[in-house]
Amino acid sequence: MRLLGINLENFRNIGSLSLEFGTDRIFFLGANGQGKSNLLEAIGVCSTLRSFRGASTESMIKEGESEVRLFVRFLDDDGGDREAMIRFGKKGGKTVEVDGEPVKRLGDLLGQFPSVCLSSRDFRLVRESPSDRRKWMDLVLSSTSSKYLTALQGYYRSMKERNVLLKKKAADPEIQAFEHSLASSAQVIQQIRGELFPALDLAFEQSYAGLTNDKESAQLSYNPDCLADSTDKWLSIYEQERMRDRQVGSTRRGPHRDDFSLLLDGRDSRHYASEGQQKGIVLALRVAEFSFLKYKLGTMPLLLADDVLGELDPSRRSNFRKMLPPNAQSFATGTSFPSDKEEEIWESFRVQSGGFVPIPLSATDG
Amino acid sequence: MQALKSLPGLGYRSAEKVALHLIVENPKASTGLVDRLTQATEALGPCHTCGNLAENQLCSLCASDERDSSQLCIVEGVTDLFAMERAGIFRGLYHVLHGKLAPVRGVGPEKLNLISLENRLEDGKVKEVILALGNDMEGEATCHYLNQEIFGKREIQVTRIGFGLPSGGGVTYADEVTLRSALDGRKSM
Ligand SMILES: [Zn+2]
Repeated sequence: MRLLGINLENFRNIGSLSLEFGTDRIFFLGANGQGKSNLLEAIGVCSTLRSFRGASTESMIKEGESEVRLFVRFLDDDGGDREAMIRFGKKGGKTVEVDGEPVKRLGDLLGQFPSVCLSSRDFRLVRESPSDRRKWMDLVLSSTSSKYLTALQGYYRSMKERNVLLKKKAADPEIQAFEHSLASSAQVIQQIRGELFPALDLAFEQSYAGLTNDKESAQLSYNPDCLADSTDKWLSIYEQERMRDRQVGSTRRGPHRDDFSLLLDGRDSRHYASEGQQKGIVLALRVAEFSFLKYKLGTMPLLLADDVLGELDPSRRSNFRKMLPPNAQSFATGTSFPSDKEEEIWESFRVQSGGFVPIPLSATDG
Repeated sequence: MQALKSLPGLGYRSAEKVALHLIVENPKASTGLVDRLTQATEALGPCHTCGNLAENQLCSLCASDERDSSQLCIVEGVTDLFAMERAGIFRGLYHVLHGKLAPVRGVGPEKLNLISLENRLEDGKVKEVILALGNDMEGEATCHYLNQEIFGKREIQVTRIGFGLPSGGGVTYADEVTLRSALDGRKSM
């Protein structure tokens, strides 16, 4: 898939912008705070309706404005034209259209225009709490399985209802009534995680080996909070836990507590990997995400690299390039080009105060 | 305006349109509407047995000899009952819950029309209960609750329709063909 053009209105510090792209390698060059990452964020929003920075929709609206408008045009891998329009405002509510047709559910957008974003925030996937890893896993799996997304949404809605009942000390039968939908969603979620995790792990192992010239090996290991292989077993788990759930006023156990570890030579990389190795691990995880999405969706995702290519040492950077399909379209940002030799391979834009100006090839200097 | 906006199904714009129409464009229609609403609120109330709209204590369905009192169809709202009747596919009696369990919105069992439901099951005439609630999460939870708390304690066959109904829309918005196949395809709980 290739992004041919993007129109933005009122997105963060970008008032109004219309850009066309003619190549597979696009670079946004500029000092920090000028808006280059904002553009990558906007491209990501068109793909997942979410900010890769974890920002709320309201916070992406330009100060003093009431509505963001995004319009993107793509060329799909079969040569067909696709487009998406997204609007969201201060009062909440999002309008999404794909190819001119209104889209009502997130599931109808996810996976249509896949993208993978590398950013300096990625270290959180190794170092921080399980919730960042779970969010990553849920987004990747939701993009490839609408059944997963439906179960996930049903699970969180049922849990919200159950938690309200636990807090107000409702009678058992009323709580039980909502445990049925909780249990059937939990069953689907864990079944799909179990089915798809091996493919994600394989992609990850291959990409980490490639990144380190086979010198080191890394694995993904799925760590469910509790395991059950049928709706009835989930029902008995929630039944068993209900007494203690009542004491804390919330649902303590279940797939919403699942996690996975990133292992380096069999040991948890959170504690046993150097900072350099951790950087390599998150990079490999993103490459794995890329291959997984491409394999499952049959569509080449866009690659968004926010200020990270320059941070990689030259050998990792060149290995990274080798692992991605040569015709994957990449959008990168930086305060300078990743290396001196690279300015000629990028279609570049200079970014200043939310404005984007194409840099003609001959005008780039050192 | 505020009063109109609080009505179900009327958003800000449509409330504004209705208010303008009634006050400025066609004040005569306004008086007629008020008269008819007053008459209706005076004449109609919930049926003491099933919760349907009724002119007397009992609605025309509960008062009729033609209906099969061994079958009871449980619906969320009066509009669901109307949809079933329009489709003409059911000859038994109804029970209207006036809602479904939704703890987040503060709807618990005490807000549903359950006391009169238990009362009418006392004499043992009802042999089959058909749950015709939406197949969304709240509808499903309500079915489980009723099955466990009310029907499970009695010798009643409990079936559920809703399979194949448009999700979220429920019974009210389903056409006759869909309703008939949902009723024919009802499954034991
Ligand atoms: Zn009645």
